[in-house]
Amino acid sequence: MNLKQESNTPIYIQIAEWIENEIIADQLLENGKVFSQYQLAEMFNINPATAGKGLAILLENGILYKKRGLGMFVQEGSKELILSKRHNEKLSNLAKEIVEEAKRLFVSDSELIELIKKIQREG
Amino acid sequence: MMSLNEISFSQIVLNQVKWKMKAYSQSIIILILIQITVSILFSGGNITMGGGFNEVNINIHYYTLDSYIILSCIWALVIAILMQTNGYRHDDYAVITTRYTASLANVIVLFVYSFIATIISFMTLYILIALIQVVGNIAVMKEYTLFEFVHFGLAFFIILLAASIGYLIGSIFKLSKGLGILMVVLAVIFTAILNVQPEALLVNFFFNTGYLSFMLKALFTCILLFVSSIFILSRKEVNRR
Amino acid sequence: MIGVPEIICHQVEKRYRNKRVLHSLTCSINKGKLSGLIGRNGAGKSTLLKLLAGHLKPTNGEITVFGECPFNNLKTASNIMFVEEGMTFPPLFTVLDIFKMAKDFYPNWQHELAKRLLDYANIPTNAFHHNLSKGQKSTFNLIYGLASRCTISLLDEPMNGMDESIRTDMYRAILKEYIAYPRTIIISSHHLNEMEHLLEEIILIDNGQIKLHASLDDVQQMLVRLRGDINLIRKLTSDMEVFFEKEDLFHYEVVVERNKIDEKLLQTMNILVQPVTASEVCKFMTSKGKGGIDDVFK
Repeated sequence: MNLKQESNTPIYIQIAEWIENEIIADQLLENGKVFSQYQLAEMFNINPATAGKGLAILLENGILYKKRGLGMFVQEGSKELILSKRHNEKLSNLAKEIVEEAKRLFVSDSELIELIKKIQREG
Repeated sequence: MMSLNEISFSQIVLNQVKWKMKAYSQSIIILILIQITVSILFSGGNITMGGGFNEVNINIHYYTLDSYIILSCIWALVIAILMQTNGYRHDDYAVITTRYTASLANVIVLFVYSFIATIISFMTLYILIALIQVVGNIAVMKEYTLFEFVHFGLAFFIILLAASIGYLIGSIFKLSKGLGILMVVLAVIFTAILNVQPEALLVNFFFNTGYLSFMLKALFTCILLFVSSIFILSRKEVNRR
Repeated sequence: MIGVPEIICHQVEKRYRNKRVLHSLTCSINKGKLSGLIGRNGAGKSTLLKLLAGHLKPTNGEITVFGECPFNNLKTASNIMFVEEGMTFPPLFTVLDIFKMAKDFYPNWQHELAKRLLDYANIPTNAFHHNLSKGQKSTFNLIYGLASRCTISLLDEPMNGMDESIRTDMYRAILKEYIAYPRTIIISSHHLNEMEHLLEEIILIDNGQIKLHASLDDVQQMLVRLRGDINLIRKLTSDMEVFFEKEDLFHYEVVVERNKIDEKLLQTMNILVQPVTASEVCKFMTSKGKGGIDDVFK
């Protein structure tokens, strides 16, 4: 992965997202050990503290858990957690766009819901 | 997180002495070369006397240690001054150092070098005389026993004095070039105008009361001069330009 | 380990013959961080590092390192390594002699690593230090500094004179050494973009004072560039500090603080929100006018 130093996303979040991608791709397995902040620092050529922040975010969000003295491990069920989170985000972003577009085209709320129901029935 | 290094003062001084001796080793070689050159120049002796009577001619050549000691003094003075010039920056190497450790190490190095210089001076004379005996097949008479500790001590302290004066001069110049030049100018004016020869006073003070007393006075003076230099240098910031 | 200040400066002032290089400088640097000291030429970076290393005395104010004043101090001298262009070694020593000397002085000296790094940099062990080229000297000085593994390592523009490829390698060497043996490292530079990926914190110095001291992430996310319609942007940013402003035929752009704007809102108004690099942030915070060099040509 190419880290972008110049981005609207802080680096530690890019690291966190990369780890999430690895989990989804089954490169990191549940209850398996995750890279330490030092390993990540070496891999991506960044400061260990920055890598550490990324791990901390994942810990906070329940994607990883800590075993005293042993390091960070992937939480059970984190793959599903990540997938659903991303689906939700994507979906809600798409939904926002539909709602805004509908407003711009002067389509009312009830008309919009009818349209969605129609598509769901067809699909 | 790793713990702090705790290195003793003496350990650092010893390390500095070890490496500064190595760094400055070429100056010993220079001394040896100078001594050899001078011994060749003076191979006819420092003073010659001659006389004759009927068909008998006697030529007496005196060989003394003087010229070698004086040479060593000049050498010691110069290296003590040079030690502190920007060319050598002996005080500011990129190793663990503080003003006190660096100055003390320099003083110890000068002590050792003065000792070595004394040995070299004696050796040069002895080798010269030995060569003359062997090659020239000339009879040699000695005024004293070949080696007397007292002579060695005298010579050592004279050279050490020269070194300590040089170090003090160097440190004054390092403190402030202006001050150094001022002092030299004042010294010259002092001797010229007042028509007093401070050398005479000094010689009187030092040499009038016997060997042992001289050595003690010399030692005391050297310590005084060195301590003054250390004090002068102790407040100085590091300036590597 | 976290949060313990190791170096503290309080209202430090340094004058050289009536020229004030540093004034009212106050900062505190925690143990074990790899920080960058950033500033333009003449901002006071070298002077500050020399004060921390105990090479200079402050004219006013206080500096404490490990709780003590570092000037002429054996304890601090034993634990601080100061790498700078003017580092002196005994003349006529070869680089290997210098390493052997370092082995005697520094308890943590990494002799094998130093030799391997020297070899990697293509500097022969029997080379004389004074015969090295400028780039080789800088490389050697940095290797010397890293191999000593001193608790505080101050590197003053260590990459000066090095060509680009060895520079990248040396930055990586600093990172690897930092990971292998964590210590407090401060690297001063006026090229932040080269090394920002290594840093945990940025200390920005300008005109002898600390303008900014924050984590790398904070600095990277501090400002944004807005591009779009001039009137819209001017209206939106009327109550904000503008760090940079540029107007030409097709664009209008300003740089403001990220936390003052609502990105989603601006996107709906067709205003582009672009990131600003840490290096640019430092530049904007220390520049004279808002237009950059273009101001000179107005």
